[in-house]
Amino acid sequence: MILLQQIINGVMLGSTYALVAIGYSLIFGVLRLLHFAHGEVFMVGAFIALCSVWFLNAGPVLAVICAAIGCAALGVVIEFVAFRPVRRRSGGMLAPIVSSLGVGLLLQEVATNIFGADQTRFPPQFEATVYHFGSLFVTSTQLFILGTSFGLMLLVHLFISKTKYGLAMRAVAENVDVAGLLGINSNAVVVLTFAVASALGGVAGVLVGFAFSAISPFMGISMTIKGLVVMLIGGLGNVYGAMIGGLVLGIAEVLTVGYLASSYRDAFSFALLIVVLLVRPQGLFSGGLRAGH
Amino acid sequence: MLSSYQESIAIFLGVNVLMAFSVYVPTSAGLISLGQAGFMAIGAYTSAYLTSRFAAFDVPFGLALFLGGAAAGVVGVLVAAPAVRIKGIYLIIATLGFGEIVRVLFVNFEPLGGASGLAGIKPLTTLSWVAAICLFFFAFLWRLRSTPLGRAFVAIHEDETAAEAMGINLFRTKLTAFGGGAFIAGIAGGLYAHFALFIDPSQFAFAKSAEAFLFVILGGSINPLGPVAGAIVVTLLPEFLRFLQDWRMSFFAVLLIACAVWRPGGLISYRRAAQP
Amino acid sequence: MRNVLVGVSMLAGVASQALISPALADVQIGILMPKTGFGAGFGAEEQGSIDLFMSKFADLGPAGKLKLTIYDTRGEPAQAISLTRKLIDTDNVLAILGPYFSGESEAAFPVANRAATPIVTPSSAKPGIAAANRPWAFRNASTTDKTDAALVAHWLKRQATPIRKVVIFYDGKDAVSSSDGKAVMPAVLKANGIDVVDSISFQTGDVDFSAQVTRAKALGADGIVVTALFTEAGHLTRELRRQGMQQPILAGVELSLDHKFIETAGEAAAEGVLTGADFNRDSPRPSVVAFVKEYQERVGQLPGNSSALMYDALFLMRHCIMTTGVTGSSAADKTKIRDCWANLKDVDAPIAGPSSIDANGDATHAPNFLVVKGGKFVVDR
Repeated sequence: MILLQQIINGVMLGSTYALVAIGYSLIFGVLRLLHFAHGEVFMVGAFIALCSVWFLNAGPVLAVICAAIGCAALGVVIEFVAFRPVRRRSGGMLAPIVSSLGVGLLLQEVATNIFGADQTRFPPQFEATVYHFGSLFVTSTQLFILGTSFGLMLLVHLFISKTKYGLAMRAVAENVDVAGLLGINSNAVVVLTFAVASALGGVAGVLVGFAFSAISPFMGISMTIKGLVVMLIGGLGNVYGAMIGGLVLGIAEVLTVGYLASSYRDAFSFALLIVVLLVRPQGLFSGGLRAGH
Repeated sequence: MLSSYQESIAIFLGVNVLMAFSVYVPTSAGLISLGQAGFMAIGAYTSAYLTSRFAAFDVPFGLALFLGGAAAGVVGVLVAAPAVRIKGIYLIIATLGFGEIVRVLFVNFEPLGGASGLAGIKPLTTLSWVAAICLFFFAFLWRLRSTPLGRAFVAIHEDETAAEAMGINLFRTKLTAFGGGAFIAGIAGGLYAHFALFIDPSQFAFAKSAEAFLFVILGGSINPLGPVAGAIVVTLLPEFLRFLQDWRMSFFAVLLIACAVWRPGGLISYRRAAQP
Repeated sequence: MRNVLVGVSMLAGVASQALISPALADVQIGILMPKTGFGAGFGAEEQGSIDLFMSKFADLGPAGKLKLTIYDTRGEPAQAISLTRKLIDTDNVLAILGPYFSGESEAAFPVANRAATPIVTPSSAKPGIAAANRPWAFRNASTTDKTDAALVAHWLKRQATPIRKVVIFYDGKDAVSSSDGKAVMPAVLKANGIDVVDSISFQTGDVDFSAQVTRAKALGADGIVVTALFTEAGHLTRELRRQGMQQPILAGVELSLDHKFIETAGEAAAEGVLTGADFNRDSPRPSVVAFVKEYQERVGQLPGNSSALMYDALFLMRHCIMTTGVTGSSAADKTKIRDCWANLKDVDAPIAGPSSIDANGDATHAPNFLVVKGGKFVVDR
């Protein structure tokens, strides 16, 4: 029973990881670049939601929507400021890492200067009713988080596979030159990708704020690293891999903490990553956004 | 002469230059590592243990530094062996993971202090030691470029398949690059430990690896001048920006972005850089 | 022509200033605090006290004026080292207050010790740091090994049903919390005949404690001990209550009596938690009441534990300057300050009351026991 409860805990945690990792996968799939500020976008989403609650008296759904829109806008700005000018001048992947590191640091510092370095209280959004199933329990907050995460993952899946824009994304991810020849405006696709990815990251931030009733300017740092780990476990650029990888990591972390010691937790997720890379270098799943990668 | 404060900054700068070199060596062979802080930690703890905790005999500083570097180098080779198959982005993340794993291991290793760290290290690092070692490695790395090994690095960096076709043993060369970088990081760690006199695992976290990586990317990786330039700029700039108070790091972040946009190859690079 | 006139008159003005005012030597004291970075909150609390103190006590009488040079260490040991050297060598301070965290203090203390400059940390609580850096290093905060025994005894006394088995939760990443939770607390509990059924760790910055609490639930403990900083302790407490663990909770001094603990945990969850601290904001002592009132008027917020510690440290430093005849111009000044601190006995500090420094360079304060009642920390008799 404890094990089952721990697994439930892990799925909760993992669903937020999955949302962030999907963002990474989308950006990497289309641009083949690492976005080291994505964790900070996640953090900004949480703070946007906080402001919407403070100033607009927003309920949970409105807060999520505000975060999604705000972060989508932020993502577009980041693309214009830190990725596009760098991409234009060099073909490599290292300079964008530096500029995205810079963006991440900047967002952290600005958030610290505005909100203070300590955790800020996130007003509880629901009466957290607890549902019992025997000795297992789940709170309404956790159900909301789970529901939103899976709902969004479904939306992303539909978007990529069924809509014109999703198709354009996949085309650019496959081969940007051929996509251009076919009349797809790759720059527009990149902007769209950033918007969607950042919106997802921002929503994940809000959900974490709901879950733990507190947010801080530094909550994005570990998320940056974990998101990368999940993306690699799931297979670079593979959105579905990111979803499953996120859940796997969440469960693995919770089990490490529950049965070993929390100090091993971070090491464990990396050890898991390294094992996966050694055994299956392309990640657990290949294909996805860029088939045949 | 230098004030005590300036000497302190100079010593930390020297350590940073060595860390920059430790990233530069594998980078010149096309292997990007975001985990050099792990090797720095190994060097720091090993040499500190030898000079300050090892009751059997008094280990002279130079020997302790060398052994710290050697320990890091050995681990570097062991880690690189299976990792040689991993390419590009995967390698970057895997090295990141390695750095974190090392840190966590030290947090849990009580005989060397665990999370509380190791204090009471003998103050053996001086500016002379640091300067001498930096100059040595600079000269060594500069000369390395015209040796067969150095050219092998560049060849692998440019095109692995062609390099292999020309008879370069990919496996051995990559291992050497990785092990060499780790060795230098270990020595940097030893110098750091004997100046800070207190080390704990949090000082060797991802931020340290990212910083070392930044030195090379910012400074350029076509020759050893790049890492030096990068280390100087990143280490000294925050000191000069102190007057900006709370907005110091924000300004620094903006500079990073500007640098990436306008000098993507690094400060010391070709005008239109050929990228790794 | 006009420029020349302006220049000459400015020069004359400056020269006359130098002639008229006698050169009062300022007494320079250095301060190291985390003004930016993850410790910025503590730095802000300390800055509030500094501003308040300087508005009242900057004048040292015949010794001149107190002048503070403040540097931001960002909580990093390497910065602490360089800045300690800068304060001593370039700014010529007579003594240093700070750094804030134990890690930085461990790094900075040897530097000051070798440079024969007194250095006093107002806040680091990890045992042994001052002792390792005699005779110039001091610590004006209670350490865990001193307060835990009294704290645990008090906790046990106030229980209706006796506590036999305890589970400890500790922050494995924070040096003070980790040594408290792994070594100091278990020893004290064992000495009281209590069985520690498990020690469960987490890391600074964690927000999700579901795994740890689930693991603890099955252990059948009748008491819970938490050694952690206020943020993590708050999250943990909330999760404990949420998962149905209602056992009495004892929180170590790492909590720093920060009100955010209650906010983060929620008033219902935090109710009844016992902790100890140097600073009790609601103490009826007149000097404390005055401090709280003035701080709030000046800064617009209530003072926290860090504010109180810095204020007392400044007070004691000033006490040492004035009672030993330090003027800022003699080579023996640093030694005078050091000896004053080393021999400090029952000097009445505004907030902690009678303060003394023991042979190890550590302060001995009588701890206050406080329990959370109705959303506030209330003194527990």
